[in-house]
Amino acid sequence: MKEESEQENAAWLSAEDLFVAHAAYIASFLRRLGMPASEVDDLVQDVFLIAHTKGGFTPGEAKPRSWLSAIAVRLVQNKRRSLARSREDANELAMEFAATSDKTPAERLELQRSLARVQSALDSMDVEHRATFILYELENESCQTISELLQVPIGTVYSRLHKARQRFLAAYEEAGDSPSAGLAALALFMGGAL
Amino acid sequence: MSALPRLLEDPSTSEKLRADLRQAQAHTAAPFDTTAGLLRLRDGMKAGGGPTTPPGGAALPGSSWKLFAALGVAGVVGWALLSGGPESRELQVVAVRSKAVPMAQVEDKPETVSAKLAPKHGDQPSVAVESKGARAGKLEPVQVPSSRTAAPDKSDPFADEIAHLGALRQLHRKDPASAIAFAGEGHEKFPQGLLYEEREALLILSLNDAGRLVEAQRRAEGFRARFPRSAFLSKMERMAPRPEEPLGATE
Repeated sequence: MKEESEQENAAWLSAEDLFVAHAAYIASFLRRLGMPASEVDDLVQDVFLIAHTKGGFTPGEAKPRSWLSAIAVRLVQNKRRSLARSREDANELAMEFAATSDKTPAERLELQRSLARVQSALDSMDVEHRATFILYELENESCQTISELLQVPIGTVYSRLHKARQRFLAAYEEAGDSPSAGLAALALFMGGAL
Repeated sequence: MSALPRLLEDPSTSEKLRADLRQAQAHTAAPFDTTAGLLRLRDGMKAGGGPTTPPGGAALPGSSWKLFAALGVAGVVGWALLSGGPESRELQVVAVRSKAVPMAQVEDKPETVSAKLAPKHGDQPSVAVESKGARAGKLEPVQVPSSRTAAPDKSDPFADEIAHLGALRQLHRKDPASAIAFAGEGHEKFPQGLLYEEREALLILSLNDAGRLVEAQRRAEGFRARFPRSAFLSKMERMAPRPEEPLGATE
């Protein structure tokens, strides 16, 4: 994975290259940040047009998709006043994510539950904390790189990460204890499968 | 940061949580129509004035503002930031979806151009503009005729910022002195703006073009520190060197 990311970082990438490789990820990232599905296509376009404006991806410390994620975060921060916050259920999003996997129905249900638990916990955070958490915990970026990407002091990154973890863990425990989470996932799964 | 283990690698977190995070890490993409999106992106980039090229790539033709009406939900508007040259990554295009941003009209009166381009609504807004005869750095408020101001969609701050940057780019080429004030106004208006880097670069280049070399170099130093990989750095490297200040001189 490291080799892959190093190779990916080695060359300049145009907005089109970036789109082909990372648009689906950025669409999902925007959903994870809480953007409504109805807005995601437009926001994805904005992200890559900004990437184009900035001259494409220049190799550096960050992975291309982390760089794009940072653009997405700033776009969401910039637009959040004019965008309605998504009220979509974490289970619904988890079902979409799980739908792309090649698994048996039972495995897919379990995967969906797993993703719903994570998404529910992510939903407990605001955009800044959520983005920091995703970039650090799921994208394996360093705090230094996140600081550069989000253009905030590194102390702010540590602080956000600390709070994000606290909120995530608290929400995760809560979601894990909630019997309704599993039932809702099952209901959605059955509805989606039929 | 070795001092801060990730939850995925932290044995003190539950196995269930780590398993869930691993799944979240592995399943990052919901169904997405990349082909349709790419076609739309190409339209947007084309509408904006041309593609970018990698560093050292072929020079692009000169660019200009274009006004586009929105087609369905995919209307775009764009512009190229800096004109061509071997480092044509600096020729950059931005476009915004779903909004047709009115194109500001530029006339050949430098002392009023900035005001006319100000993307504001309302009656007689006041815009700080450096007049030709003014002492460097001194800004004078100018009453802007409301009927002559550009009027981007107020509901979209990003479109507003894009419109401002496009106007700034034009102003930078035609009247650097006014561009300085206009860029400063943009910084105030969009403190969390997505295009700060581009605006600050144009401000620095305008300072240089206006002969305010000490300020240009001073801001360029800050810019280099903040954006060490910026595409604008090569352009700044070609700016006039900072004049030697006489001993004891204070600015």
